[in-house]
Amino acid sequence: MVLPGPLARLVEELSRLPGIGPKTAQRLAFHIVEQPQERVTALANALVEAREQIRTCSVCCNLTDVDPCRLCSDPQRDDALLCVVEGPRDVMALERTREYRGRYHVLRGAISPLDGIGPGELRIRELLDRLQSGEVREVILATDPDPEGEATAMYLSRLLKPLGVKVTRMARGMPVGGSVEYMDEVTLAKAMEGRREIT
Amino acid sequence: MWGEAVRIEGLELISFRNYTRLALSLPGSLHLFLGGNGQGKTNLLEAIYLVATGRSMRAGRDEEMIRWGAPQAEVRLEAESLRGRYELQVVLTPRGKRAYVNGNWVRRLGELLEYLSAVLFVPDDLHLVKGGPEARRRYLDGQLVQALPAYREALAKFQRILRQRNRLLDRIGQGEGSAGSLEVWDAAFVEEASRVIHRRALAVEALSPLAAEAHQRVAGSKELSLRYRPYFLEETEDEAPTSLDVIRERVEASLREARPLELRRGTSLVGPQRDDLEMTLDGRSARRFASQGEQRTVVLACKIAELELMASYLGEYPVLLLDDVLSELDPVRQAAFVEVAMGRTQTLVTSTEATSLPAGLREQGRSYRVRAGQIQPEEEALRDGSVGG
Ligand SMILES: Nc1ncnc2c1ncn2[C@@H]1O[C@H](COP(=O)(O)OP(=O)(O)OP(=O)(O)O)[C@@H](O)[C@H]1O
Ligand SMILES: [Mg+2]
Ligand SMILES: [Zn+2]
Repeated sequence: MVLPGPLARLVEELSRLPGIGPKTAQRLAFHIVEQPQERVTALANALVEAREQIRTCSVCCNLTDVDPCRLCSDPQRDDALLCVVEGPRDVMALERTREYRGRYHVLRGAISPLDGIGPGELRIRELLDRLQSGEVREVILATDPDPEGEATAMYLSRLLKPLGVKVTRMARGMPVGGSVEYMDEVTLAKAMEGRREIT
Repeated sequence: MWGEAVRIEGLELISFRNYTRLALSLPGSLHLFLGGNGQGKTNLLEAIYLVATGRSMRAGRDEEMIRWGAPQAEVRLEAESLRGRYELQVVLTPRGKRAYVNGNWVRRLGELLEYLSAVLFVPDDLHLVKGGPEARRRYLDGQLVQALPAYREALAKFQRILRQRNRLLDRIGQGEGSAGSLEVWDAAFVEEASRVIHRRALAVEALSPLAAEAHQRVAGSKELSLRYRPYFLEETEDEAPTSLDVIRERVEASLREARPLELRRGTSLVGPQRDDLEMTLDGRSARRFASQGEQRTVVLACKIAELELMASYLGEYPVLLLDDVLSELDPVRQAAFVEVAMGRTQTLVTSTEATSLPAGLREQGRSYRVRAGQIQPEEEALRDGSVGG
């Protein structure tokens, strides 16, 4: 059976999404066109609004709908502590522990020559800008404990230490090869507590 | 009953290679699969190897294992070992593969290696002695990744770092990065490279006497010895260091020394991807001096040693998969091999001709006929009259 044009276009668009193959895309597409009009409109609006309203926080580079983001403008948080992570989902994972009360900086990736990502592709210039004021006393490197995360932490520690700021790395004991976003709250809280100064 | 050994109890294939559908139960310790060329003997062992290790021993791409024209392939295997009974399942689709243990999806394919341990012996292995060093590294890695989870972890990490580093060296060569960006990989490279070398060196220390003993039994003369030779070993050095600290120092020093040349060549020149396993007979290099027959005996001894080493690491014998190799050996070596292996392991043997197998083997085991992706116990095949007398 040849799909009617609009349905084929929907399948095509859906199958561009990560983790969605042609089969799943077809199943979703058929499901969507059987839904009541309001549901589909709500979905379409949610897609467009999310795309329009979500942008990068000009301070921490996290994704946000207000700039600066809520974490950056919250007066209760400690400006002396800055936790550097790879992605927005790592911030969510760390926030779930409810232990950490400092600020964040989101690199939006990790160094990976295989993917064509060098330090220049990460939000490192923004990080350096934040350290200018001298308010930050400790930078906690909380990149993933895999080769790319370690290389990124190594790069940053070499870059930051000459600036005179204390640089720590989240403790080992994080599952090897794991990633921050998938760690449970207890493990994360412990790793944060057990962070060590990089020498 | 025989001693502690992993045992496959049943196997099911759906659209795997030339099998449309196969359900096979494997009671007992010795199974002989007989059939002409291209009937599906190797495919059967490949399916078992796939659920044991997460990959094929021969397919370039996983997709090749899906039966032509079928949307996906599936292998399901039930086994019993020290860790109890379990069911392994691998599903292959054009978009990738998924593994399940007892019906639960396993996030990382490497976890499969925790379950069914297997030693595979194929005609290609007969080049172990004369072939390039990568075959000998593969021989070591094949057993270590199954036996030691920490090794698996270190090797995977090392290979990832090596690829990252090679890409970076390549980019730097094209003027796209600074030499300084290389240094952020150094610490991890040294650490994982050292762990890989350390584990391999220790394993070879344990393998060497096992191989020597097996060789003695099969050949009756000449002493076989195995030595691990890390890339940093000087010509004049006989033994590899086995202390992790010493290995780390050597790797670090070699990395520092090699840097200018690596930058010029655009690729990594140091690391365990350049190591070798040296085999000697009465102190002389088997690679250079062993005769054809001697090489076969050495390979046989190495395979027996592999079986024994894995058994000592795991506390039970792995399954032994012999793809058409017995017929490549003369009766004396066949007999020696059969004597060592049978009775300790569950063994699956394939052969094109029953007559090329050792006489006692067929009486001890169950024979099956493999034909065009169908497998029938020999008695049934005879009864069905497909073979006249
Ligand atoms: N994806 C596939 N779909 C269908 N058939 C396939 C597929 N891949 C391979 N085959 C077929 O499977 C057949 C059997 O292959 P296999 O390697 O198991 O033979 P064999 O019994 O080991 O033969 P030999 O004695 O020559 O080693 C081959 O003829 C091949 O054409
Ligand atoms: Mg074959
Ligand atoms: Zn922010």
